[in-house]
Order: sequence, then C-alpha cells, then structure tokens
Amino acid sequence: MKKNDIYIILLGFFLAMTAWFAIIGIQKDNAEGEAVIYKDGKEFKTIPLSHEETITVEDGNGNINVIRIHEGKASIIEANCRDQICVHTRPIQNNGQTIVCLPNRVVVEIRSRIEDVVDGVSE
Amino acid sequence: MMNHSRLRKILFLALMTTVAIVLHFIEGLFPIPIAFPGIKLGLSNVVSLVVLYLYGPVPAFIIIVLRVFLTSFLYSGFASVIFSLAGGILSVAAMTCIWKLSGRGFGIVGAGVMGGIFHNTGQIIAASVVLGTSTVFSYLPVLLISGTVTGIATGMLAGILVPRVKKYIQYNEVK
Repeated sequence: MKKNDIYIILLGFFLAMTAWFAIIGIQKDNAEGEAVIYKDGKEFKTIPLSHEETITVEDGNGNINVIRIHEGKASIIEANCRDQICVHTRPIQNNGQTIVCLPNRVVVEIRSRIEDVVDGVSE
Repeated sequence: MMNHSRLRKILFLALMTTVAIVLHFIEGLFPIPIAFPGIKLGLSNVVSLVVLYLYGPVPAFIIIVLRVFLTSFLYSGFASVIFSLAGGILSVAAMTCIWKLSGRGFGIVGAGVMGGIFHNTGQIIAASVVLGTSTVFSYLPVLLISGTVTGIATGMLAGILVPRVKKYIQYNEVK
C-alpha cells in the first residue's frame, strides 16, 4: 500500500457520508412510504406519509375512525369503536406495520414504495 | 516462427478470464448475510487488478467484458448483463486512472478501492435507469462503504499476487 492510497480510502468514506446526508435530506421532504387505509377489506384511500392529513373514515352504520398522517407517521386518533385498541396503537411509519380496528373493520398499513423497487433489483 | 511471449500472454489472459468466472461463481454461492442487495466481496475484481498491473488496461477491459457476458449466459441470466457491464466497465476505467498515477504515490490498494466504489456506483446508476426510478440511490451510502472496504481487501490481495505472478512469467520467459 502506497501513501496516497489512504487518501482514496478516505475519499470513499467521505463520499459515502456525503451521499448519506444528501439522501437523509431528500427523504425528509419526500418520505418514501405511504399509508394505505382499508375499510371492510377494500382499499379506501392511499396517502403518502409526507403529507399532513387527517382523514375520517365513515360508513353507513355510523362507525367512525379518524386517521391522522403527521410528521411521517400514521395513527388513528379517534374512533367510536368499543375497545379503542386502534387509538392506543402507537403511530406507525415502517413498511409492513399496521394499525387494525377490528370492530369497525378498518386497517391502516404502511407500504414502502422503495420495497417494490428492491424486489425488482435483487435476483 | 511462433512468438512465444505473445502466446504466453494469450494463454495467461484466457486463464485469468476463467479464474474471474470461477471466482464470480464461488462468490454467488456464499451470499453475505446482510439484508442488502448488491454487497459482494468483488473477488473477480482481483483478476481485473492483476491483469491491469501486469498487461495494462486493454486486456483488463477485454477480460471484464468477457467475464460479464459469460457469467450472465452461464448463471444469472441475460437481464443482469446491463448491471454487471455498467459496474465492470466503470470500475476498470477508475482503476486505470489510478494505475496511470502509479508513479505519484498511488498504489494497487488505491486502485482496488476506486474499482470497488465505481463498480457499485455503476450498478446503482444502471439500476436507476433500467427501473426508471431514483429510489435505488438510497443504497448508495452503504454500497460506497462496502465498495471501499472490499476494495481494500481486493487491492491488498492483488498487491500480493502481482509480484509473484510477474516473477513466474519472467522466469518462464528467460528459460
């Protein structure tokens, strides 16, 4: 190993760090996941986690769930169901996490857009 | 009269192509248990380095292109040609730049690291073009780190191999 090789090695780590910070910066404005809301087993609405949004899911029987997307996380903030489990579930943000409200048959699931891409790459 | 050193060179390069294919195959048998696609030891990069430092960039380019096409046809399928080719050609190009700077304190380890970095960057670029999305770039930091670390390893390995293989070639030529 010659003396200038160390600069190339340092360059490699420097580039990695730069890329890392750049990607963190990009992901802040453009969170990669989206929250998919299912009502009665059917897809009701899909909202990117980067949005700030509050959605009310209501059906003809008077069942109400209020879902909030806030700071890249999805949570159910209000529900008229009897057990309130969904309201007490912690906010979710990672691919595959779910919040379920069984009595009202509402499911909120995080779907990562990046995951589909990766499946396409890896053989 | 048959030119023996030319024949020897052709045979050596054919042998190196074979070694690259076999190393690539062996590497595929032991996937690194990290949940990250694309992290590889890059053992066949050692071959590129050895050939580059013994015979220069042109044979190194020929060997990488042959290796990519042959391994794609043999195991991984033709779809992977574009990824491997982008990575391989960029990596040999980057290593050639460092090889040209040999007199200025840049050694084979530096070339190996550059090769590793550019190999992974090339694959990411190819993936983003083929898949039409830039989300794959979020893998860049990890792949840059792994390219650097595996580059150090392949560079050191090639550094050990080059003088030995050179001695062997010259020994046979004197005889």
